[in-house]
Amino acid sequence: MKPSEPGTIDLKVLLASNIHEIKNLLLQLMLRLDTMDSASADVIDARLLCRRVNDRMVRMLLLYELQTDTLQLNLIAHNPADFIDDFVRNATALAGGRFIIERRADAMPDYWFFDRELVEMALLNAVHNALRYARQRIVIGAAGAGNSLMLSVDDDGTGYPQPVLEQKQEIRALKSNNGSGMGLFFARMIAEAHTNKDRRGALILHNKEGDSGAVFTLQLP
Amino acid sequence: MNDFSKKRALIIDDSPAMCSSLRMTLNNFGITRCETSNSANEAIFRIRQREFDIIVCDYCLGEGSDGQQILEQLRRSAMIAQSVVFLMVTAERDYEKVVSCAEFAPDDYLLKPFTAETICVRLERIFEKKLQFAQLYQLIADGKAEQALAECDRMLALKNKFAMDLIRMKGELLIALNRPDAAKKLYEEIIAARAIPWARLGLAKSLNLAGEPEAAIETLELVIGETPHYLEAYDTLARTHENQGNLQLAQEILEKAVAVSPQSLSRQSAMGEIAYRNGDLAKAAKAFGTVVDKGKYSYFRNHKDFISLSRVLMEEGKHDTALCTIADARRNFDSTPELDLASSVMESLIHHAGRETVQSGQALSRALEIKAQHGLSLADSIAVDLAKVCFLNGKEEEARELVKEMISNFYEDEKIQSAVRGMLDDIGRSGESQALIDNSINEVIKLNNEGVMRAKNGDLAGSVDLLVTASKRMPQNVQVALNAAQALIVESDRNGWNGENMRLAAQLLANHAEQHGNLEKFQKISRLHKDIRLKYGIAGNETK
Repeated sequence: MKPSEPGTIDLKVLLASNIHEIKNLLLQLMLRLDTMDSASADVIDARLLCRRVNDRMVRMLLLYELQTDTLQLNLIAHNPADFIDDFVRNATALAGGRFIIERRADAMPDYWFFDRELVEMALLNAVHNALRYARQRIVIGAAGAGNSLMLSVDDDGTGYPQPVLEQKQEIRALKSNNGSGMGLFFARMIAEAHTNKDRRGALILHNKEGDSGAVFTLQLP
Repeated sequence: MNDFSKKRALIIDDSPAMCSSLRMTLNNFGITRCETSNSANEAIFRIRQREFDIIVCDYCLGEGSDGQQILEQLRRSAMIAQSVVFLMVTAERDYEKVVSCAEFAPDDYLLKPFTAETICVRLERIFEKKLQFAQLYQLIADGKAEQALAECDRMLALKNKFAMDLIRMKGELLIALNRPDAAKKLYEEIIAARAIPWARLGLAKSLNLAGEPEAAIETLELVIGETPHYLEAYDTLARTHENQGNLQLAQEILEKAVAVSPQSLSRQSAMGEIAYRNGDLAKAAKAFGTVVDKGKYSYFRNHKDFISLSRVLMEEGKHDTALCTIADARRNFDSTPELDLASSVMESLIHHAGRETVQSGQALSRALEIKAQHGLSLADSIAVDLAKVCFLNGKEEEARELVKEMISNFYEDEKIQSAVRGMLDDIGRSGESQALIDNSINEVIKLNNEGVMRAKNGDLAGSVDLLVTASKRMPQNVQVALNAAQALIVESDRNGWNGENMRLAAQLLANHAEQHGNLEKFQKISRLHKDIRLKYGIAGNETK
């Protein structure tokens, strides 16, 4: 076959079909891992790695959408209690028995409109961080607060360092491609992309009293 | 946790490797009865063969078909029950846009990649919902909209996590029950909290129902502006323009919808139809050509598209191609009286256009023979064509009889009247059209009135006789059928139980239940039927 003219290659189509392929392969890999013994430390690590590979790929796509101004959320009504239950089950599988994962829910509305996949990704990132810094306990919570839904992940580690709380870390991360700062940047982007009429979502980071743990909260209108 | 071991699953994915991965995963949580298909057609073949409880389908199936099309075709043709779980699997975040605006959404969807845990949890959730909604689905399937509405309200009064789904169903029921004011209020309340596209569409439908087409159009344009991929909004907008008599605008809107989603063949077909009515033969030919071509290997292809294509080709003067298309239809479909009739009518028309009078006459004789033999009474363009070709072949009496039959069967249908009028204009008989149409309508009204009058004057037997005969002559005419049913039931009420009459009444009601079950008069007579049955202590003999 004659190679086509360089100008005729549709880079976008090529990229899209490759990403499609990677996702399919990744799914097969993840399902294969899930059929293996879940107590083995290697399998647990491999699962985490899969998650991280996927995470990076989704970030790449989000960056592209952000760049081309095509980021569009899929706001569908979900039951927050179910969402948190599912999420806790997934997080527990990821933690593989090394941490206690607790679920906490207060005054939850019957339904809330949010982009399930993106919010899950943002929370999952917080869980990845917590798995690194927590001593033994991670609490995943959901609460209705007036006209917002608050979804949170907190741990019993040493809390966020000051530059993170001041968002300096996120800015630095974008310049140097630093892992955790990048995750927070995306979480903030996802939260802020959630809007309802004139209200906008937010990412709230703070530490528990006496720096006894970090609290990551997504506030969704 | 659900017991999955009794469930039967079908996995649809074009990649065999993916199929086996998914099958292994399902096996691991107990679903051992698991089949796989690598293409849409194979999947449909399997679904026709046996019932599945769970269908896991990949969105991207390659080569011009996607999972959403399969889902819509399955749900629209009621090939799978509401209780069947349909789970879409997709690598495309874009699919979310599709699903948020789909007329038929899957029970849930999973973005690749996902864990075995996730698919298991999602399946459990879906079954939980199906269980809660089982009664509601049954009521809707039985056409009991009123009771379904009450069930929605009952479920909403309890704290329910599926409240949004219930509200959405409630809105659709209110529209089906022709209660625009209540529907409008419901949708406006949702929109006040959040501008959800389906609520806007529902509002537009309520406005249409309330006789406010301008407001409906404004709402629909807003929806399309904000969610340009919301195809159902285009369909509704096109229909609104069509009802307003703006066929040109309707065509433009459908063209836009086709551009957004060229995959949907039913919409292409609707576009072709309206382009044909607008005299835009080139676009009509292109649309029907696409439908015939792309649908060639689909289970859901329809011979009517071949017929429509051939009609357009004939009018473009391409007589040979038009005949070839009919031959194609005969080759591609099992022979049914409908197909045979439609093909013969077209052949007769094409031959006539090509001045081959003998062949035209032969084809026409065949068509009339099939019609007489099977007593088909058709509401579509083929019926109009048949009358036309009768006129053209000098069979005026038959032609007038056909027109009369059409008009009296569908005498409240503006579209059919205008199609008949157009046909008569076409063959230079405009002068006859008003008299022919008016006479047919008047005859029905006279007959109806006469029947009702006889009953009032105490001649119940005479009334039954007249109305039952009339209802046999024009089986699609709902008013005649309802009056006949009423006369039959009243006869039993007055003169004692008459099993045969009551069965006939039930049959007449059943014939119109699907399309007119929500009419007030229909429900009144259904209740009357039940009351009289109870009066004589006869158990329900619901005639299907």
